[in-house]
Amino acid sequence: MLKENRKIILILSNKYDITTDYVCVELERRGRNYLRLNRDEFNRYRVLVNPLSRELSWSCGEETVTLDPTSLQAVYYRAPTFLRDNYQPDLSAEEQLYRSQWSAFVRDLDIFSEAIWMNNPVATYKAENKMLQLHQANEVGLLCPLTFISNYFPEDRLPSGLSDIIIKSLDTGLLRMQSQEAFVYTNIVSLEEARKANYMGAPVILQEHVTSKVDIRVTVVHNSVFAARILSSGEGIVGDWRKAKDYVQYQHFELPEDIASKCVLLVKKLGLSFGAIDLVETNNGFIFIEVNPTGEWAWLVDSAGQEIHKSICDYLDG
Amino acid sequence: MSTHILIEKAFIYPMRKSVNDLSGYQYDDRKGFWISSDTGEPLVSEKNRPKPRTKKHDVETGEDAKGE
Repeated sequence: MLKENRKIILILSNKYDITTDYVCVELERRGRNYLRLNRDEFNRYRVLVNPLSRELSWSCGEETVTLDPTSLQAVYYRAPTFLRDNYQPDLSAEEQLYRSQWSAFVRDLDIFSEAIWMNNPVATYKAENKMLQLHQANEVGLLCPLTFISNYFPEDRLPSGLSDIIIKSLDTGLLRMQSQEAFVYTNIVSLEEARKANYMGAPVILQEHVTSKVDIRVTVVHNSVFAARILSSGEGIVGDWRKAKDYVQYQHFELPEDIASKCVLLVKKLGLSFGAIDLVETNNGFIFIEVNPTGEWAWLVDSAGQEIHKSICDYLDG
Repeated sequence: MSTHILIEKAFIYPMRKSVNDLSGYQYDDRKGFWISSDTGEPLVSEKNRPKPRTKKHDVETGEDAKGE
């Protein structure tokens, strides 16, 4: 809610993003000054930006706000950096224009670069790079599985004795197939099947299959770390845990300090203040899989008792 | 030639159009969050509301509406 003459925390989201509600409720409870702009409601707003003086004025009904580098405290950016649904056949020209141009508008608010950002979309764009993630994770000292990105099956580069291998998409694998959608999960493929498979047309990630594992979600908020084990009947899940979605439990636990520090360092090296990291816990230690700069977290507030929203507000508060 | 391995392994589901059912709640423009029409309490503070789930529990579009 807005109060006069105080620095403003700007929240860019959409009206139905309930995750953002957690942050707004907490900011309201703290009596902080914040403004939530919903990307699906821009038709209700009047906005004007002067990129030279870096002033943004916004009005809706009787409420008017002017932001500039001195009054803007922080930006909580809950918007996609990639538009992946351009394939949809039912979008009118107006809808296509709305999506593309307002997406550019919110991304371009990066002109307020002095503000505290969670996350800056420029950093998010770069950090979505899976090759870069693995490289940086390795650099900070996290164990990483043997990984290749290729459009053929590189058998000569694989260790002997493998019985299967992970095959997954390099970017979010969301496809349209006739009147349906399809999503590419992480696949465990036998070596025999992997040898015969078709890779031409698009590169894939081929990765060592880490067995005897428990999936871990590590949510990093600046210097705070929240870790949860993902379990089914108290045990780790074979393959992609998303396929066992209705049967999983999320159990909060404390990561070893050196692993937590490396997770924080990785997020910082990627230029982020927030990152949702997927690790697996094995007999040989914790192994890095990937980091999601725009990862979801609200489900962990209820399911694992992790008050991530409070840490986000602490950070936005400066 | 056979189908690309990622297409062959893709999980297919019907296209979804609807958003969450928020009947019984209204969006408070000034506060920037949904509240119960009955109690005025924030939706996220209500014990009996539908719990948020990872989008991995729902139609997977990548996290945080990346598939938008």
